[in-house]
Order: sequence, then structure tokens, then C-alpha cells
Amino acid sequence: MSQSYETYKPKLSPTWWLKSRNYFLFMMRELSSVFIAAFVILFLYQLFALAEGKEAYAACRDELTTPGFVVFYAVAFVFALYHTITWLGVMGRVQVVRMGAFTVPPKLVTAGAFVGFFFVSAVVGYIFLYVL
Amino acid sequence: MSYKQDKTEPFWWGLFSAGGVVAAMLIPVLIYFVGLAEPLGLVGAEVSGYEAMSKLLSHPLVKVVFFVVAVLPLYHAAHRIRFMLHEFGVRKLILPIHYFCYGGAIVGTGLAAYILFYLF
Repeated sequence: MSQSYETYKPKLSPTWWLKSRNYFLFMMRELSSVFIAAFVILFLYQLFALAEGKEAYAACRDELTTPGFVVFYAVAFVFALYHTITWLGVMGRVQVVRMGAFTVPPKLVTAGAFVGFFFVSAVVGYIFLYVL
Repeated sequence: MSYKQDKTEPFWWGLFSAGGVVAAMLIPVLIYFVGLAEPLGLVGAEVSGYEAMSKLLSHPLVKVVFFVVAVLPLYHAAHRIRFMLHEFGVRKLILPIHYFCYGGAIVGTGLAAYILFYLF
């Protein structure tokens, strides 16, 4: 004889992530991707204007340097940094580096990732400030 | 009960992961120079001006880097938005959300390719 049972479906309140600091930070980490994607789309728009020519680019720059957009960029910058910290911060645990019998200490892998971040940022900064 | 396995998931997860690395490494410095430094008066207007940016984009390697920087974080975001909606309690429309998120990223990929490799 077969019997059917009702499946247990846990109820989830839409505000569960506000109930603990860790849940909140988890949601902020997830949300960071939305700001990063929005920045990327604006960046593509800016490149599109650049391809259109000098006047189109100037108009685009005028638009993107208005206070509203600057506030957006500032918020996106904070979220992007939070993404960097959370993403690279777990690098040692995510990526175990082994060389023969030797395992590189996870903390060193994480530290290496952050060194890489500062190095890449410095190179990009150097290009913007001194090469162009 | 049998579960249907989604065989495409590793592919999308791979793009998510690659996008996470690219975003972590390059997006903060890019937001700083593209969006913040000039309006805040930290650098001159010439840093993100027409001449500088045109010179930058004239290099083929820069085009490839910009393509990667623009495209991979879109897949990263698509993956996170998909799961974020699930975490917020959206338990229906799973498939349309799936198509909407990754579809958006694919459209973005096409746009980026068009702008960087066709218009320039």
C-alpha cells in the first residue's frame, strides 16, 4: 500500500537576513554583484560613447560626473571592495596549493591573493596616471 | 524520489567563479579611475578624458582585458542574482529567472564584443 505524505516546506520570511549580522553580511556580499554588474553596464555605455567620437564622449562624461552618478560610483566602490575582501579572503581555503609533499599554508595563499590585488591595482593606476 | 541533474550547472558556475576573480582583482581600481577620481578632484580631467581613453583602446590587449573585465562579472552577477532571489524566498519561476539572468549576461557579452571589437 502506498501512502502519500505532504512535503514539509519550511516557511521563509522575506526579512530573515536582517535577523543576524552574519546573514546580513552574506546578503550584502551577494548584493555586491548587482552593483558590480551595474558599473560594468555603465562602463560599456562609456566605451560606446568613446567609439562614437569626441563630442559623444564629452556628453557622456558630463552625464556620468553628475552627483547622482558619483554617489552611485562611491557606493559601488564600497561594495566592490567588500567583494574583493570576501572573495580573496577565502582563497586559502578554496585553493589549496600543493608542491609535491609540501602544502603551502592557506594563510600564505590568501596573503598572496591580496598582494596580487594590490599589484594589479598599482599597475592599472600606473597606466592611468603615467602612461596615458 | 529522483532528482533531475542540471548538467549545465558546472559551466555556469565556472563562469561565476572566473567572474568573481576578475571582479575582485580589477573592478575596485577601475571604478576609482573611471567613476570617482575625476569628479572628486583627485586627478585631472585628462586621466579619463577622450585622448587618454582613445589611446588606451587603441591597444589590442586592452580591448581583450576590457572585454574580460566587462563580461565575466556579468555571469558572476547572473549567478548570484539567481540564488539571491531564491534566498529572498522566490521559489517559483525558477526556470524563467534562470533564463533571464544568464540571458542578460549573454546579451551583455554580445554588446561588449560589438563595442570593443567592431566599433573600435
